[in-house]
Amino acid sequence: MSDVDPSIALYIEETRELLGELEQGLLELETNPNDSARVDACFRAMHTIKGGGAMFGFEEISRFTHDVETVLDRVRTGELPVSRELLSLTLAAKDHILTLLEAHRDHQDAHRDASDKLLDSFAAYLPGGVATAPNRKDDGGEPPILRPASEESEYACPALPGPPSIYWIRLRPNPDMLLTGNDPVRLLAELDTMGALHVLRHGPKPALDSDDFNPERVYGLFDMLIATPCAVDNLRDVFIFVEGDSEVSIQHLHTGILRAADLDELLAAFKGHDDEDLEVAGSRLEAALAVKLDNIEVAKQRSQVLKAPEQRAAPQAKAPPAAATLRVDAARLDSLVSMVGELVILQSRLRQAAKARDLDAVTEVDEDLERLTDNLRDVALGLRMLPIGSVFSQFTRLTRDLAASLGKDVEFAAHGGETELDKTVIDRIKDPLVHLLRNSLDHGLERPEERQAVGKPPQGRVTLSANHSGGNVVIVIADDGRGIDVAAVRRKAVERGLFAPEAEPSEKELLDCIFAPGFSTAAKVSDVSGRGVGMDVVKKNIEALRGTVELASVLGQGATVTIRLPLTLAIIDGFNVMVGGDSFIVPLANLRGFQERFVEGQVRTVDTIERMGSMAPVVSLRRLFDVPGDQPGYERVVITEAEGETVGFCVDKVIGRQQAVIKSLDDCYRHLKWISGTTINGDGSISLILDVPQLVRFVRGREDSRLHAGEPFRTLPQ
Amino acid sequence: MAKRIMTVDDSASVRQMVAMTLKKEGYDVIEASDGKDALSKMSGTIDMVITDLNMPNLDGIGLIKGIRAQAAYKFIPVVMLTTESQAGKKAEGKSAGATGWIVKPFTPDQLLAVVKKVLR
Amino acid sequence: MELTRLEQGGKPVYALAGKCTVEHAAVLRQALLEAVSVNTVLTLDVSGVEEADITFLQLLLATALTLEQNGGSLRRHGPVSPAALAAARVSGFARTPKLANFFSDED
Repeated sequence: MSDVDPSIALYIEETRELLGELEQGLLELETNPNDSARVDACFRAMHTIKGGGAMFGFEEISRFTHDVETVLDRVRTGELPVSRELLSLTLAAKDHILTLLEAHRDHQDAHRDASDKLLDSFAAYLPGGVATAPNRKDDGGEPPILRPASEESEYACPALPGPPSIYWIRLRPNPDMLLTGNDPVRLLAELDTMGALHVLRHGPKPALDSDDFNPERVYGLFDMLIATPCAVDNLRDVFIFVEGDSEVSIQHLHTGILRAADLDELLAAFKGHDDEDLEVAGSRLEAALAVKLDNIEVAKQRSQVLKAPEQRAAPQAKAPPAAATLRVDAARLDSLVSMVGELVILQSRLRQAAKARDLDAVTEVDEDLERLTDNLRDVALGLRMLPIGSVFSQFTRLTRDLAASLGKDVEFAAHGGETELDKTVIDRIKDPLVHLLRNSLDHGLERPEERQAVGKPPQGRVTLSANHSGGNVVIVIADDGRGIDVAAVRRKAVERGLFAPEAEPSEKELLDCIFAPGFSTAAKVSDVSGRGVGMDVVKKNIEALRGTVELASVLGQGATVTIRLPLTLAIIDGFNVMVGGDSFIVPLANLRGFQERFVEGQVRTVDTIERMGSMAPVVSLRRLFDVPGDQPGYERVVITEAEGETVGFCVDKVIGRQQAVIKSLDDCYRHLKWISGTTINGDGSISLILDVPQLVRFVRGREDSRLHAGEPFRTLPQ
Repeated sequence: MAKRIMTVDDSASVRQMVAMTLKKEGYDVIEASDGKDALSKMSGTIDMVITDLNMPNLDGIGLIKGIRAQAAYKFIPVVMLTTESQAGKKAEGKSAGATGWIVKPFTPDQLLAVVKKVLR
Repeated sequence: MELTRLEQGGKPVYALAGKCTVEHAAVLRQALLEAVSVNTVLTLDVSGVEEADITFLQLLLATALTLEQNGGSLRRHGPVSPAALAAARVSGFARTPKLANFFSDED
């Protein structure tokens, strides 16, 4: 089975995609049950999953899918209508297949009961209402259509115990057999590998110059006697593709051995009788054989070496760990390859120019190289770009199930699914989006009767959209629910000590409180949300992707959450700052402003600075990273914000804005805190990219320990 | 010269399994993702086609008819991949000009047995 | 597939070579018809036949038949190629009365 193994990972990936398409298709059928193209697509997906399941060792998937496929086929042929119950059941089946897919192939039996339970429900949709999925254990595995040849056998089929048999085989090929790519000669050649074959070709023989002769047709018939130790099924398999179209008959004639000359003599009995039907021809042969047997000394029964049929193949090899793979649009790969081709050309142009010391030519190459590099970077980054629609499609299902469990009527719409984002961003944005959607459905949308009471349509609306804006992707989740009661937020915020009772925070500041840890205005905690955990995590997760999240609301009319994400995690927009000879990058997403400070005497690693009327902690990068060189008396302070907290970094100089391609740190440097990566500058030097959230946490930790221990800061042990 | 076989399947995993099995045996392999794709790639010497039946754009039956309509491929072996639940399709495929079929699931050995059976 | 007329000891020999399969059957028939029209006794060299199917064997049989009807015969020059011999042997053509001589001492 070693040929199969590399395909297993592909099968798993492909099945996941198919399940996603299946789910989307089923959900669309719910709104449009008569979409036959959609039914077709669902059936095809199930069919492919089933076929592959059996091929790649997911036998439980194959067994389970069998009836589901049959039911979908009945829908496809119009025997069954599309009903809500059937769609729900099929969705459940889809989930179950995913479970089976994720279970180890050797442990699929554990999910058998769950399969059977679902199959019982499907049985109602089967003809006769009876499940037909084979019980795998009784089934004996895949039906071999062609037995592999036994190595011990003299012939290309396993030998049966006992003396060989002689079979009479008649083949009268369909004259048009060649038009199906078959050839009687090839069939007979295969038969020849299964025993001692004697052939009489007789019947019509058109002349070369006959008008009736079509050289592309087959004429005549073949009567054959074969002495073989093989089973009659092996002989039948030879003709499996042509029986039905061509006349094929295989009859047992004799058990035992006859001399080759005798077989030829028996065949000669057919000569001149090619028009006779099988029965007459058969009795003619029997008669000839009887005469022959009378005249022959019965040959000594030679004992046959008995050959055990080939042992069944060894148990399935274990599935290799799924490698992280990514599907890439072929056109993108093609353009990448062609650019590499250009690169090679440029290199040889550069060499020539350098040899000739032709500065103009070098400048020209440089210009071309710059253009190529830009394109190359875009294409290379594009390789990791995926449409966000793959995530969106899962939400249709999520909102459907959620709305049902909350007793709400929701119309969910997703726009901009084609918007592309870096795969790593897509993988990590899903959970925050799920959380926000849950909030919208649970807290945002009212029940149908409440909505009608305030003059809204009973069906609520949640939209999810994505689009490009500048260098970012903007994802918006909007609902037309009750909106956020800013007054209630304010009360709660004051209660929790986030604002003084007399403070007058702006609406934006109040809404930002919702992202504070443990903040919830929900009166009751539901299954879905309201525990007050989550929004802070949402914000943290989005910030970890170097994104931002904002909330807007109109009381009574709905709320909108706007998430801004960078297109890719591979390139960062940042500010380059210098400390001594060391260069650092502060991500632009975290940057809030610049200040300055004058220092005298001993510099502490963490200090405070006044910013907009309050005190903010500042970190001396020089001390933190033990940068050699003299401490200047005047420093620039880069103000950053992460996780809702402001921290300043003291540096010598601010160089300016820079787009940096992130090179992640090797594993051996992973223990380095405060640095998220490095980038190589235009002059070949290296800048360290500051991990602002980590630094904020570090400062917070220092402040906490100072508060608790009442000790002054010590400088960091280096 | 190595025989060239085209494998047509909308399932990349099946296609890959077929292609790898055949390549290992020394065959040249062309891959196509559906009937339409396959027809667009039919040129030059193609000694055999192995096609799935259920495919978007153009299904296996349509592909077989399309292959047989071209003089150059009128007689080449075309094997379809079927499942036991497609008895009707099998007959339809045969009358469209299919040489034979392989029942899914199949092992590499079974695939090669059929290839050797029909390939000249 | 190629059918070439050669001179062997002052006598014409038709050398048949390459793939003698259904794709080329119509062309081969035409070539053989031309050869049959100018020879009562046709000598074929099939040592260069690389592939042979039912159409090749039927054409040989049809050629032998037509030559016989014209009072001539089909003869062979040189050995039978392995591909042609295998096809003739497993299909019974090698023992068909009209071709038995053609394939004899090679079977």
